[in-house]
Amino acid sequence: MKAPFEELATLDRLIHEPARLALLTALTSCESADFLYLQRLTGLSKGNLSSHLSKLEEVGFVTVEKQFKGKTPLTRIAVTDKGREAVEQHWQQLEQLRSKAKHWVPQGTE
Amino acid sequence: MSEQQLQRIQFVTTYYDWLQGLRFVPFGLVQLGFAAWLALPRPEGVDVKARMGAAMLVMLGGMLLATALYALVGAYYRRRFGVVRRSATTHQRMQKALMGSTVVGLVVGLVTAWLRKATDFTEPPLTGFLLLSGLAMVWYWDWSGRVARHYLGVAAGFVLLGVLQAVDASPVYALLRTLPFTSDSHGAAVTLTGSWGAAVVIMGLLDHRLLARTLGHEPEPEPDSAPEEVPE
Repeated sequence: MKAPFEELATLDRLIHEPARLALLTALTSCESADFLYLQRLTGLSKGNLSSHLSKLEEVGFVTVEKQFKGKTPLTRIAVTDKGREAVEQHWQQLEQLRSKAKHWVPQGTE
Repeated sequence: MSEQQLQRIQFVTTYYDWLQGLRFVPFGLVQLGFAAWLALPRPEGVDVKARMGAAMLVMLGGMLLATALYALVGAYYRRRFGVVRRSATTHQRMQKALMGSTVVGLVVGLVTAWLRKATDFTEPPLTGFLLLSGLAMVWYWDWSGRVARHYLGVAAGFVLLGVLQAVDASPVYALLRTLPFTSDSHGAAVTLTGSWGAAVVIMGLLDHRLLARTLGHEPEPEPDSAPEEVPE
């Protein structure tokens, strides 16, 4: 049996990266959020937030919709069904790992 | 990123509209103002109905002003923290909770009015109302995901006030008797209106603090060159 910390390596790093995990956690809690909200949540610069969102958009986890409200640009981001499923799966995996870690006894100490 | 932080993100995003606490503070202040007015002694020779009518008009004006401020402060939140569209599920849950609270409020009001007519009690059952208010706050904390601990603090405040009222040691009554310009003839109404007004103000300020802490990250300065490589 693998030690729990070894299984940590099997976690999807695309989701587990702290900024992206915060973004996906927020997006799965609503229908959509705008760019400013996600920026205030993560504290990332516009460029870095755009890069993270592009990565999530590439794999089909989020959709990015750009509109104009009058002359003001408005970017709305929403999680897709695929993204929602992936986040749920990730949480389940983390939960399993946590429960395993609680009961794990290092070899040779039994 | 800790589980607690993620829970807070979930909570703030789900109830973003309701956590814009500064929008609700004016409503609490109007209620506190009404409680203060109720605490003033009734001047002799003044028509009670006309006095009550004038107070109601002032309160209505206050509520209209609070509603205008609600919209204005909403614009501040949109500009400062952005916009979130709530999901259909959350919307339904919120509507149900609002409907449920309104129905409970109406039933309690009607039962009180009926009791007042059918029996000879003159004062509303204040201890019961305060304990019920405390229970309502605990329910709200539980319903909203058990994240905002300050709801429990407000609930404890209501329960404490209820218990003190039951043992005839209400600080509100004591204050009304001590101050030279107040009377305890409407002590129950002052306690109930004042405690709810204070609860709305306190919760509004603490909700705002929670929201501002969660969304308070000033964006990193833009680098001169291309954005740094984000981890895969």
